[in-house]
Amino acid sequence: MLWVYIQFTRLTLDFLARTAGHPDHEPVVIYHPQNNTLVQCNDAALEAELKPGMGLAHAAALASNLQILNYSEDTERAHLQAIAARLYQVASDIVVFNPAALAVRLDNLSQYYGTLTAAWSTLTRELSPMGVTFSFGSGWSVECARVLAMANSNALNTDSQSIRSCLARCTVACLQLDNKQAASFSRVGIQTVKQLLALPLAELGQRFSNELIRYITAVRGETFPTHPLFRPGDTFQRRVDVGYEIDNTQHLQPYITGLLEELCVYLRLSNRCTSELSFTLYYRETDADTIQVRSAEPQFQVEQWRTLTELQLDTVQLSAPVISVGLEVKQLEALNPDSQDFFENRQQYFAHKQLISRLQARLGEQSVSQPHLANEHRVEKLSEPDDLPEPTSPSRWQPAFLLDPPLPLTTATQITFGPVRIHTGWWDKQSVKRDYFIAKSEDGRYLQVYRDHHQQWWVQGLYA
Amino acid sequence: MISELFCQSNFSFLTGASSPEELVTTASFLGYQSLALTDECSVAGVVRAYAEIKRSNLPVNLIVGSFFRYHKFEFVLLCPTRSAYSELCRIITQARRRADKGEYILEEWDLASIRHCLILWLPSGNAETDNERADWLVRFHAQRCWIAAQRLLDGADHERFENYTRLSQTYTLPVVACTGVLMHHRDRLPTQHVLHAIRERTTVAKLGQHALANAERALRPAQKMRKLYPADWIQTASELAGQCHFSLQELKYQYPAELVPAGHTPGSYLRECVEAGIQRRFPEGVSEDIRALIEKELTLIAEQQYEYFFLTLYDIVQFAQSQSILYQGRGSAANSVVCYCLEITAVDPRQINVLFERFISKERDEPPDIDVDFEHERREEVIQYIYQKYGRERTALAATVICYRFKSAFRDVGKALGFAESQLSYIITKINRRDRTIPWQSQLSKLGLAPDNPAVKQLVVLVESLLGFPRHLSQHVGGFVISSGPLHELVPIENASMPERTVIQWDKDDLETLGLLKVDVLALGMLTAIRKTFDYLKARYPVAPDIPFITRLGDDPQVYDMICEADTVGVFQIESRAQMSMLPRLRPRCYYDLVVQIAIVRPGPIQGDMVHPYLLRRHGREPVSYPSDAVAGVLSRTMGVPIFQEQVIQLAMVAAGFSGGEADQLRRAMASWKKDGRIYEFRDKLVRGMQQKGYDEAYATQVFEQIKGFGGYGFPESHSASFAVLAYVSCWLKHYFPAEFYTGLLNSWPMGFYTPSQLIQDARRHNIEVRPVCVNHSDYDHSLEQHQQNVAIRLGLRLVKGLSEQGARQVASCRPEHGYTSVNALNHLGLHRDDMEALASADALRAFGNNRYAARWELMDTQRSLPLFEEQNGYSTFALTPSKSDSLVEDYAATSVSLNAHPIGLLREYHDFSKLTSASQLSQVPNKGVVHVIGCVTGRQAPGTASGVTFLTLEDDTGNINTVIWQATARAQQAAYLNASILQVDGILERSPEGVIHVIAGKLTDRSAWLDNLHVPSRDFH
Repeated sequence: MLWVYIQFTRLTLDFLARTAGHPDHEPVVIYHPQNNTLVQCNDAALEAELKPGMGLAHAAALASNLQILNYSEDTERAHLQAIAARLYQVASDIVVFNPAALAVRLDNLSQYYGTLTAAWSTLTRELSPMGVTFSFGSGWSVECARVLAMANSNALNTDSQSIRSCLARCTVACLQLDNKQAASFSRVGIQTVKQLLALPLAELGQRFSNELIRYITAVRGETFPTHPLFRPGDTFQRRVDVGYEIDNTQHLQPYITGLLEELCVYLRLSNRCTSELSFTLYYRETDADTIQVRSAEPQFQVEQWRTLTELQLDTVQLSAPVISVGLEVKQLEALNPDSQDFFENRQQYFAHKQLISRLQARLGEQSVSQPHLANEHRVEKLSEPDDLPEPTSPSRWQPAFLLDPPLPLTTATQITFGPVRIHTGWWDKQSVKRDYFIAKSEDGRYLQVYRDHHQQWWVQGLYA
Repeated sequence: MISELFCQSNFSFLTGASSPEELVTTASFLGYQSLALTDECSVAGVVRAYAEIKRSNLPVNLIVGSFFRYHKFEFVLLCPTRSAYSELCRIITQARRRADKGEYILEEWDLASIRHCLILWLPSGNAETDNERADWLVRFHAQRCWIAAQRLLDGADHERFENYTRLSQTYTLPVVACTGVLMHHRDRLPTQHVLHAIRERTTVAKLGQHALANAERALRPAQKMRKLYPADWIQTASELAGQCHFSLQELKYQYPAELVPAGHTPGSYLRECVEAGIQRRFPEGVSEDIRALIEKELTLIAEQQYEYFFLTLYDIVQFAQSQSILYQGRGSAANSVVCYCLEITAVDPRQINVLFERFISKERDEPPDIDVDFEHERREEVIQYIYQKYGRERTALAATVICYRFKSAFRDVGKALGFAESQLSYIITKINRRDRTIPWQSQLSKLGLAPDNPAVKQLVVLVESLLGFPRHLSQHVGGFVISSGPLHELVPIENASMPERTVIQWDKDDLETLGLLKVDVLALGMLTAIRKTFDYLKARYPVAPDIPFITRLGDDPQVYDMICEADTVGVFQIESRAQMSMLPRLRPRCYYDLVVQIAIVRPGPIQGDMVHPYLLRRHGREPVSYPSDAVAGVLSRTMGVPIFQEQVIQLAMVAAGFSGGEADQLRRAMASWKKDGRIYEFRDKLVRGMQQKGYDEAYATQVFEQIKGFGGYGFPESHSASFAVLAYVSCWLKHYFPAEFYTGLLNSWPMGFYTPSQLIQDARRHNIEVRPVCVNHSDYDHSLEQHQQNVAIRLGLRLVKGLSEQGARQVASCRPEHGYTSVNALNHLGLHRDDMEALASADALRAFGNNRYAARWELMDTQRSLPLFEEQNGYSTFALTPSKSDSLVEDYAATSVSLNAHPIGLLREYHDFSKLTSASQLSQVPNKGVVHVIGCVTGRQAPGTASGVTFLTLEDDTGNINTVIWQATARAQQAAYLNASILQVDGILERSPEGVIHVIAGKLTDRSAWLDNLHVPSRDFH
């Protein structure tokens, strides 16, 4: 057997650079807030002598113009899945090691590609357009290949002799050991894999757990533990962080195109198509927005989807700067150009969505909404959509109908309730300082009126 | 007249948005008759309100009370009388003691048992619950219950008023008008919203209808109140306020009576104790002037009624003496002959001419300040003695109010305004608070927060308003309050975070305001080290020295020679790098020089620019002059330059005519000027006062600037005087008995400025043999071994990382007479495998032949502990031996100390060091010469007083090298500056006239890669 183990060293950064054409002359790092360590650095950051493992304060002291993105294991996993799905087209035995490594069995590919070298070239050809940085190693087992990849061997060793000599040069740090095991080795002076492998298994067995012994025999190529193999999923799901805050939909376009390209590669390779995309725009503070893009017929080509998406995006007003974009496709169809019965059984399913999307297309998205009662003191904000978990019941003095904008009070009225003083909203430029009353007009209507801080009177609501 | 009976200050943490001082000041401005301060289950803020009323003579009556929640039942208790106050303290104490720190749990019994407090009930608005509560209240407290009516203009007033009227009619309970104040002014509404959001861990925007709808919970003008409430409700509130006569002034503190034996008055007993002390301290008889001094002090103590205070301390130090616990008193009253006779302090009044009056003054009316330091390892014994003697209910620690500081305020306000946490963390790490040229507000724009963005403006304003807000109560380091009766009748007690510790709700300033005395029981590592050194000497010599013995010997020129050479690693106080570089410049030659030396290397004198003039005058390069005789009286002992905090205060008194009380206020303002800027109130008064007395304005302004520069960082002479004794004693021990002294220090670690490794290096530089850890020679502690005429230090097993104390003690105590002969012999002790492996790695098993790797490998074999295999000498193929550098790495990993080689010494063997100068050769390099040095970075100090300069200490195999790195140099070579553990510095050598050597860094090269694995611990002091 011959396995090649590929360790991706900066997956998030690479995907970001590819989708956004991120400038590489500015130092960018991926930061793990829980551990307070950098986990990935781009070239500019490395030049500024930043290293993975550094703390944020240390890094910030070294590079003043540092750009920091938070690490997300989910993002890394998603990228890794994308890579695995792509390699799956050219290789069958793939083992995924979340969040950022995978192993591919090469020996059974040589019959398709001629030689082991040719098989490896095919794999690298697939990886190259994805622009990912990786180190790799090859060996007689996944475990052995992993050690060599960790040691940055970056050579395709195919014969036992060269694997063995490569392995001998590795340090113990390249092995997959827990802290305690690593400390045990270092405290007895075992620093290289060569020193470790020279020790008889019996002596090791008297000192270490069976699990570790099994691992060492796997590294030595004497046993071959089995690993679950990768199978592509039935949905497509990607998310990309945009390196800076984007407040203009035009600037979102490159990221969206990148996502669409990935989708279409996926569709093409799996021989499928789809008629509905779901983009999610993530903001820093507020909750994410979802944009559905639908097509009358299932599509699988970038251009078609791009045109539709652009059209849709033109009508979108960003409520806040976007920090990342996600794309999800749940409905995948087998690609069958001859099929004509697309609409036959699906009308029911799409009816509700189509009605809303038609209304939105016709009236504008802002005009279609469902009433919500917001958790707010300010009257004009009471009926804004809100998804707070604690819906509050309306105060008794709130009217059924609101006037937007409020109208000056012109008729004589008689106050029957109040004042209710609303003095709030200093934080969002819509500060309000008003005394509200319920007033009865001469014609017997009950009005919600208020006096503003200029002592002017307005009507804002009508009681039913 | 308006009386507000429900008002919460910012001592209702994260609820109230104004300080007690602001509330009483505004209430009196608005013409309120009374204001009840009713923080939630707390009276922590009342003393501050009381002090403000007294200080500014405000015509408002302060009512003490507290607000409580019991399930959905909300009410306020008010104290009409002293007994009601005791009852309130008891209720708060019980509720607090039942819960974790910061929380409280009421029980129905607490409420049912109320006999003296008045109850303001805040109905919930739910008819069913309110009826139930009203039934209960009428049953138990019909005569002392009122309905508190709130009008908040929030849309629910109408229903609330209907409910009040209904309840009042049904249950015949009177109604009082109240607001439930949370702010002194409506402008504080944003601060209140932010505090609320912080409390709810959300953002202001998401608080929604839970937030206050308006600013009506501020103190409202009388006219408005009259408009909002029926006149009779306001009238009832006033009548109710009129019933509350209790004032904090009534709190009379009584010392524990058992201190004075029957038949004695406190005065006569104190005199008896002093007379007995005279016999011990002055066996040859007491001179007339000392006798006169004693009489004067005793008269002063009697006039101020401080006898109990001195007797309490006497009792505590007597206990310490009986247990051979070393201690030392310090503080304003400690350096008196009375304290010397009572053996509270070892400062012999004949050695120093310190006047008691200088420290305790009737006119200034300050409470006497005596802190007693005890050996840090044994302070707990003293604390337990106090608890045992007076009982837990009569003893508690004073509180320390933890306030919002910049970082916490910035983070919390930022989160409440919805800034991302990672952004806030980033900004906090990047803001340079030491940069006095650019305030933090201006630095924000560089960090990506646009200053004209409204949200950023709000952030800045709100952070500023939150700075100094109390956040929670914590325990004072060692200030005990002891009373004659149950303490909870005087002040509520709550749980501290430390188990079995309780704190009162007042801090030291509050105690001072009310004239309550506290006894400071503090911990000091150096006392442990000195006591241990004395013990070693006692074991070796028939007559061993002690502190009085050493001080009686007088100033020893040889010891001062050592001090002047800055050979002071490990001694007390004058061991830091800043102190060490000052020693050759100040050249102390007597005890009082040390007193000055300790106080002068402090931010106060440095920022007040007093160091340079003092040195010039001391060495005769500048004439000593005084603007007047009065000033000369204050400053003559420090050559006309104010060095000590007391001098600054005295200067204000003699030169600007401050009264004692004013000087005391100035002292407090100095301590907190950065927080509240109150010191500026004194500027005009000081300058005007000085001008009136004939000083010119320039001199007056200079004095004010010096006072400000001192800020909270001045060091009092009274403390320095006591510290100097210990500094001298430690220097004396280091000079005459270095081996014993180092051993004492190492066995008291962690303490002081240096790591064991640095102390051991220093010991070896003093030609003291240090022997390695060994299972056959080492005890748990480091010990002394006699060899020929000399003494060597044997490192103890306590140094071995990963070895349990129990295991280490077992190895030492079970050791056979001729030592262990094999690993198996040790195995019989049944030590844990980890302990055995730790011993192997520390090379403590070297006596058995194997190198540390082989020894550890052998120990790892799980089968060897089985009886069947014990005698089998299993063949092992293991053949790794550690190289020199491996040994070094292992030494540091196992013990943090290496006796084999210094990392730099090791590098010397592998690299060409011919161009590098070692620490010991630096003295031969001419001044201003170019040098190349290399060393392990053992200390980085960026003191706030030196703008942007970092002092980096490099250690090579011959000593320490002090380097100075300017900000520009550091910035240009940040990677090497920040990352290096082994650093090469190419620079210029600078030698001061006194011989202090610094290397001014030019080029920095990171050489850490040369010894990649080696980890030398660096102590960074930023």
